[in-house]
Amino acid sequence: MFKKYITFLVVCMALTFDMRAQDTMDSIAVKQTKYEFTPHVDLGPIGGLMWNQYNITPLYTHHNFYEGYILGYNLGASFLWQPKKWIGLRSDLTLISKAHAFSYAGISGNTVYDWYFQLPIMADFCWKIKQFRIHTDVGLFFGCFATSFHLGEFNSLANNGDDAWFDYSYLEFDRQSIKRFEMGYAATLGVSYYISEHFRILAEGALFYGLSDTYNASPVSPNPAYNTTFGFSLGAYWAL
Amino acid sequence: MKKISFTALTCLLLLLTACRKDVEEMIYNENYTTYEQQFKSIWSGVNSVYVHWSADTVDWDARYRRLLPQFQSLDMIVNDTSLPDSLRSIPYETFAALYTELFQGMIDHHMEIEIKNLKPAPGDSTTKFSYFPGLIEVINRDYLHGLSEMLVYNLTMYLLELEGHVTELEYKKGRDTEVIVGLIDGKYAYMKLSDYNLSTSPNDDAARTAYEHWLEMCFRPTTQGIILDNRGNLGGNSKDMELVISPFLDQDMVLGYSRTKNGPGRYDYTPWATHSILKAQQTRPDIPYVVLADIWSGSMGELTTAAVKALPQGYFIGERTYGAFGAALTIYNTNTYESLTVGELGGTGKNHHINTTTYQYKFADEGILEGIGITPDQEVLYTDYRNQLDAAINYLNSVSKEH
Repeated sequence: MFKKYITFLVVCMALTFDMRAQDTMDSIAVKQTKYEFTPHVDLGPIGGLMWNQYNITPLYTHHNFYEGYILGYNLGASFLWQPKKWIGLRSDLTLISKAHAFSYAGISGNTVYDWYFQLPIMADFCWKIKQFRIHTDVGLFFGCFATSFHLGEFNSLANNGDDAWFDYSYLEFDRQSIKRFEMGYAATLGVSYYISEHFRILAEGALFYGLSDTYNASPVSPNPAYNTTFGFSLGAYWAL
Repeated sequence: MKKISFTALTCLLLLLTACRKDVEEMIYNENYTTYEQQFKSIWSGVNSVYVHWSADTVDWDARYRRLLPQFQSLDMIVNDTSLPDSLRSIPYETFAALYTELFQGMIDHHMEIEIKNLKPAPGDSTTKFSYFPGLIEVINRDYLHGLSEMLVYNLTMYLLELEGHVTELEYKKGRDTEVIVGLIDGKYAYMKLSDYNLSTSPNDDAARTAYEHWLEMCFRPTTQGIILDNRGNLGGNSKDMELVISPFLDQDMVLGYSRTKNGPGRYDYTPWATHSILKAQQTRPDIPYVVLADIWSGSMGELTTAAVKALPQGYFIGERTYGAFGAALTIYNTNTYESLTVGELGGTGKNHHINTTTYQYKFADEGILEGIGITPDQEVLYTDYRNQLDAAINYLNSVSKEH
């Protein structure tokens, strides 16, 4: 159902801009001097909170994956090339965590934060109203696995054969059960405020809808898993 | 200026939605009706829960590829309407051969497999396939001999008592454990346990009382050595370690490490948790300590053997042990000591039960020995009811002379 809404939204936007492109082409010669727009490049930091849902069907009925959204983070830099008043090309390079929780016999509170270097490449559509700039971006993202961070506790042999609960927290750079690369849809919706002509601050909501299977299960028995990540970010842009 | 077709670009992006597989199609569970489904359910369950993948050399994927078509052909036979009803079944031999091929060589020496034949042939004497990969490996060792009952050890000590070598001989049968204790040649404290379940016995348990007698002998100034007989001891409660090791430590000892799975992947392991044995309040670390163990010393029977061997004054005489070190601990929320089961057989209507350990164990000095066992300091293969015990006594005699 969620996929259908996204598809509908994207189609509507595409058709809208399909028509708008022609109008803009016709009027740009008359209007350009009024808005005094010049092509430019914006660069700045961006970061925020991300909530990730892990969509997986466990092959073994005793495995329990948490079906809700788990908090993670996103931090990096954003780049925007705006050749036209209303359209540009945006790309970010961020470190983003996409978490999931899993319970099993003998472990508790087990949460895995998978950190990716993520590169969304999106078309940026914007409207400038006085000192505000409303934008929506649509495109794809590409991710490269960096590390996993594990948190939890497990029950095991301790002193003199008593069993005890052991806390754990550790990084795992070579996690074999995850694929190195991820890709999917990326979309944002946000607003900026111009502090000055060349500097603005940004707030936006983002969606990263994974299309590639992230779980490195057995080659003969796939166990696909997908990340769906919502987030809220703050940023700043300097026009270069 | 060339007009960009956003509609075309959008259609291209929409094509990418086909990349997410419909996960509802990928569920395997225990409610199967065909041989193919049964095989996939069993294969994927073991694939996820088996804790020894980091050490096991079995190519689980290759076995899937090789055996899946064969299980599919079983379904074709069962569903072939051109055959008479009596032939639309699978003989036990065929069924057993396939699952033997699936599980043979797996190193978990606690593993127990029971699988029900869904369409048994008329006249089959059994519909249930049972298989123990660890036991199959052990009985093929060239030094295999029979598993002796406690009666044999009891008679051995009784004969030694008649010869005048043993005093204070005791045989006690407790609630969970049988114990034989005795003093050999007036100076070596001997104890044989049927299994390691003393710590769960009540304090006034007869076996517990016999153990206390042995411990008292160990602390006598006139006692010059200890013999712990782990032969034929197939294991028990890990807490018993403090009864037979802690009183003989001069400092706390790290025996090994254990870990379990924290994810569905083969290699999703927790970190290693340290397994230590703490020294008791009253200790006697200087007394020579010999442990006897054989091919039938398994689980706690060989963990305690390894602990004695690791002591500075410890010495292991006998045979390479069974090789079953995977632990089975309290399952979260059920508060029972049981291995993790992949499915259940019978009663509930499900058709397979696979018992496998939940923890992998690694020794501090020798690493992972699952399926291998502990090798003795002095190999003495079983030839008769007393050759190994004589070797232990001779060793202690030689050590006593040195001191």
